[in-house]
Amino acid sequence: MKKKLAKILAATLTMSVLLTGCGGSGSDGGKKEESVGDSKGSETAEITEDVTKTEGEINVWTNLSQEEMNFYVEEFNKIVPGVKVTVTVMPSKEYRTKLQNAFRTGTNAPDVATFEVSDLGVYKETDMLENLSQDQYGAEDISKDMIPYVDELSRDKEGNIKGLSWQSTPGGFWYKKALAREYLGTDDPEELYNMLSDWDKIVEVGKQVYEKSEGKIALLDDVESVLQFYASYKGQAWVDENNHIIGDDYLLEMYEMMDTVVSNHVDAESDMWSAGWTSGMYSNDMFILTCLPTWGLNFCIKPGIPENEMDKAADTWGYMQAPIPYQNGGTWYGMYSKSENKDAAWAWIKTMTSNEDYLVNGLADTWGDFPGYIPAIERCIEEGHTDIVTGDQEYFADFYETAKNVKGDPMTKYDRQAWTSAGAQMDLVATGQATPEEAVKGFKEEMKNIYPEIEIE
Amino acid sequence: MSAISKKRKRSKINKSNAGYFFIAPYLIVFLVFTLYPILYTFKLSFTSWDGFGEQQFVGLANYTRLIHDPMFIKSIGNTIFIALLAMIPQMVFGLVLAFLLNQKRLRGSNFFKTVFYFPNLVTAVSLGVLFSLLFDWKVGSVNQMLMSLHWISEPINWKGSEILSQLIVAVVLFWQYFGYYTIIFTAGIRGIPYELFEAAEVDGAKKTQIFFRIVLPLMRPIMTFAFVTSIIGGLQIFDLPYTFGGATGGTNSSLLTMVMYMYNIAFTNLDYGYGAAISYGLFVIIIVFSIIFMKYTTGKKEQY
Repeated sequence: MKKKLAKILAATLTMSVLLTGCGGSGSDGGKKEESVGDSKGSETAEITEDVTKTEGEINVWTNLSQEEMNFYVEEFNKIVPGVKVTVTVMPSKEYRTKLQNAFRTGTNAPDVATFEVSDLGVYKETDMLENLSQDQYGAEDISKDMIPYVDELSRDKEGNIKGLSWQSTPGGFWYKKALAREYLGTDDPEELYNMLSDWDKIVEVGKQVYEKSEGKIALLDDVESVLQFYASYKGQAWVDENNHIIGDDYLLEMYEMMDTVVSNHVDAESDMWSAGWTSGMYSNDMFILTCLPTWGLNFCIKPGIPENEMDKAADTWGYMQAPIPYQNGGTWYGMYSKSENKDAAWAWIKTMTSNEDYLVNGLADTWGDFPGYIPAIERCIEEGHTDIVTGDQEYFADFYETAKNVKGDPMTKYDRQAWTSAGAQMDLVATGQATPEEAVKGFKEEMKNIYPEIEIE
Repeated sequence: MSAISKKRKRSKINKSNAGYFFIAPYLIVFLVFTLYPILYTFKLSFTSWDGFGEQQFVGLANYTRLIHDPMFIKSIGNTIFIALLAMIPQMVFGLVLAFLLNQKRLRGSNFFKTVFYFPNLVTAVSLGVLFSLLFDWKVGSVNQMLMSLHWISEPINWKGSEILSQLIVAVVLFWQYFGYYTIIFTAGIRGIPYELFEAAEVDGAKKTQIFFRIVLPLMRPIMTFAFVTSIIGGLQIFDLPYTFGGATGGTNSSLLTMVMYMYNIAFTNLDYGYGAAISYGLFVIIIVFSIIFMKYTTGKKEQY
């Protein structure tokens, strides 16, 4: 009996080992093949010069919305009909780990993937992403015409281009025109900019708005606008190459500003990204300004407006430059270095990031996004790009002005957590549970706790 | 005679062997998708790995870090506090309701049982989002209702307060699961021989006496099961606090549970080695709690 039992168990074990083994050898096999493909690929990958004539098939992985991707694929196939694009959309939370696993093992890895700016910062330093600076691609020719900070963030430490972005995301203030007229006396972006050209002025004006409205309206939406602003314009990384965390002066200034903003009722305490905050975009009058980059219009303001009331919402919002040019967010395309479809993958990346007609007529005019490719931006400005919600304001010119002056902060693996930790301390400051000094200390301690290699003084 | 009995024995053995084939599919799936990841996680917990480069063996460094990690210790405190806060009323309510619903004079007990079970059918994620909206500081219905009733003059910042947010999560957990335990306990009470109740009634026992002298002692095995599963589930809470308080666990990380911390470390910060060590820390804590509860609940049984 024992023998039989042993046999059965052995058989079971063998089967399970076989199964796991299958998985293992499958991935290894994939790797080999792909690494063969890779060595061929990097040296002899034939890239069709005129990408519109490229033929093939690619898999694109993304955490963008299905609707957005459908739009991109449709536009792409108008220009490059020979490439079949299969898109896999995943929720952000799964996306990062799945992509990492796929790239690492080579099993069913996509040819092209989208990367949020902070993730690109991590991936671009690995050999998982194809070096697009190689001659056969000609990404250098494209990137030289990109907004300078976009070009900068696309490059790894050696200066090689590891991804390209279709957008640039400079930021400023978006304001509700009717409230601006009522409480600030004007809705002209120039005049408003002069009125709010530094934080001291913003606080002063904020106090006046609060008094004038008897506490009903605030100048800013939420104290997080202060974080958006400061964290997007640091001029340095959160943690530098020697593991030193950003200086106390910067952090203290930020938390003191948050404290000042809250204690003077400059913000409406609307809790950025919450349902209450979104309702403040249209149905509720709570605040005049919100500190958001280019995508704020499409992803934050418009979602607060019911579809059937878009006409009523016409010409209700304006865009003005912030005291300092900053940028926030942005998504890049990167090519998997072991992809077997590099020709088609390049056709996608090149078309989506630098095809002028598509960027102007598709991305900007239909989708409402602000490109990163300067020739396209200039054409949009020439053609007078506007949006129903912002009336006849040609805000792309202001975006462009801001974008040119943005200094791209280096993106590292610490960015995601730094934003989170900075935000957590902000909540404590805003609710009076911590002083700015305690918040600085709390921020540094939390970062050190999560990344023990960080050095704090 | 003996030959026949031998044959019979053998055929019996053959029959039982066939069982291994039947469990093989599960066993294989278990080995591949459960045991292997468990062992792999154990191996990972001795390494430093961000998922990109090579895994580096670091010995016990992750465990040393774990013991000294104030955030992990805080997350243990949060988890136990929220779990107990939800579990105690769950058990009490479940037991009392099960007893009441088993009274023969009560009509429509099945209806009530079904209604009590409803919240259990809603996924925790939806509940987290729903309650997050209800308790929103500025536009939440709860504050607006309290204000229109003139019970409060200023909106309460529920999520801004550590204890209030923990309380809300515990209440939601309680509300979600008390129906489940009511059903479990009803089954337990049904399992008690009816003669015992009858005998007690004949002897003139009151309802409370029946409850404390008959129902409670005879329910011990079921209660052990309920306590242990509840504590195992309670110590692994993730989705509700995550959706209610956000990924960082709300104000001052008051809603940061152990599993949330593990998730953040491993999958947000891509520190798989330390994340694996946290998993094993969690494993040990759950085992300790399970043993305590089992000892406590089964230990007393011997007195009867």
